[in-house]
Amino acid sequence: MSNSFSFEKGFAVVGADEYGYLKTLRKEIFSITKDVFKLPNSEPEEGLNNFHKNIKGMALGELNKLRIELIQRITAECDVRELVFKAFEKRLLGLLGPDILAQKNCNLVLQPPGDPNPSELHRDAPANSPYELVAWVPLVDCFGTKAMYILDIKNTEKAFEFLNSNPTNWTGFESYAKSLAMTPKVSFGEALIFHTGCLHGSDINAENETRVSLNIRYKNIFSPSGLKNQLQFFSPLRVSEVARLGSLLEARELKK
Amino acid sequence: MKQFYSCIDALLPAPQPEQHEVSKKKATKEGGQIVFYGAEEYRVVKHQPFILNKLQRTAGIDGVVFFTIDQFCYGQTFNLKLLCDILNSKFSVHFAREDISFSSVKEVEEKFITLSAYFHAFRRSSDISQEEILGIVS
Repeated sequence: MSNSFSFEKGFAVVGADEYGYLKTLRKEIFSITKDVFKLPNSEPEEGLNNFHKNIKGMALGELNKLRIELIQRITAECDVRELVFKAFEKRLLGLLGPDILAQKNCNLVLQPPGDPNPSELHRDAPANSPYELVAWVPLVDCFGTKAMYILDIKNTEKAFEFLNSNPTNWTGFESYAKSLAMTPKVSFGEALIFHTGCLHGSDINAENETRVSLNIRYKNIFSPSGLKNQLQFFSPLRVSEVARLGSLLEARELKK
Repeated sequence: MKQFYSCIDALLPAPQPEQHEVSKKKATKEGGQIVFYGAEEYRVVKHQPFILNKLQRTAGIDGVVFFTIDQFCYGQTFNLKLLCDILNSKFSVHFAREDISFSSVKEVEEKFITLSAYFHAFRRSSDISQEEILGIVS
């Protein structure tokens, strides 16, 4: 792990501590994608990058149906939250502490070239907890418009100052925010870890490969939750011995 | 097929039919159906005195589906005693919105850390809401 790691800006591109977990995860996800979309490719990287070539001409309704089936199967068959956590464990433990909740269902984004529905400019907190982190994990190398853009905390504040002064000018806000944004290159084997308070989004993918990425949220069990019901969206992933003993004692007292 | 009692949240502004829909879905997921339903009188939601008696008096019930775990968070402490009393009376307990189920006290103890953290987060946001309301009216 590099000693120069800093999270001051609210985000960082980090290399996996354990690359093997990501390789396993990509292999599993590709195998399900291949099955659902009947892809001819045999190599995960080539198959995912060229995903768009195999859905050409597919009706939007059918595409959406298969996309939902894919996400449901990944949720049921892959332990995404555990594998991503293990891949970046040292960083995540350092940022969040030893008692960790992970999002119950992870999100998979397939962004073929020219897809007119990229992720709009937004930040997660509020309504998510401001004590939460997002791990954005590409399953293919992401660069340029195939990657996502993000504003650091300082520039996010600047952008919101603009919106506060021009509350009805969303287009102006969007172009001002994008002028402050960075588009970090994130290769397979890395993650963009960011604070839920950072503005982010993606543009229409103008590269000639499909972007395939996962995003999943982690927070400390004891940090304040946002407006979203913590038990609905998260479940425990790691519990320290002290927290375990503490909760047993608390439970004993409350049962009296 | 298992028979469940549905206990909806008397304090939630969500309409009852919406709560019933979500509870019904949870009952189906747990291999059963809702056969009776009710709710605590809103003046006593902090203590929930109704539900355990009701379960014991209703024949053929396997468990209870609460709409949300919030129903155990309206008092000064998490109402763990009631949750354990229901389980010790051989009823399973399910929470529809959170999609969580318990069939034994041991399971509750193992997962209590997340219930406790949720309770404190719940109380914190309730306290903030009260402060906001008081701030507006003062």
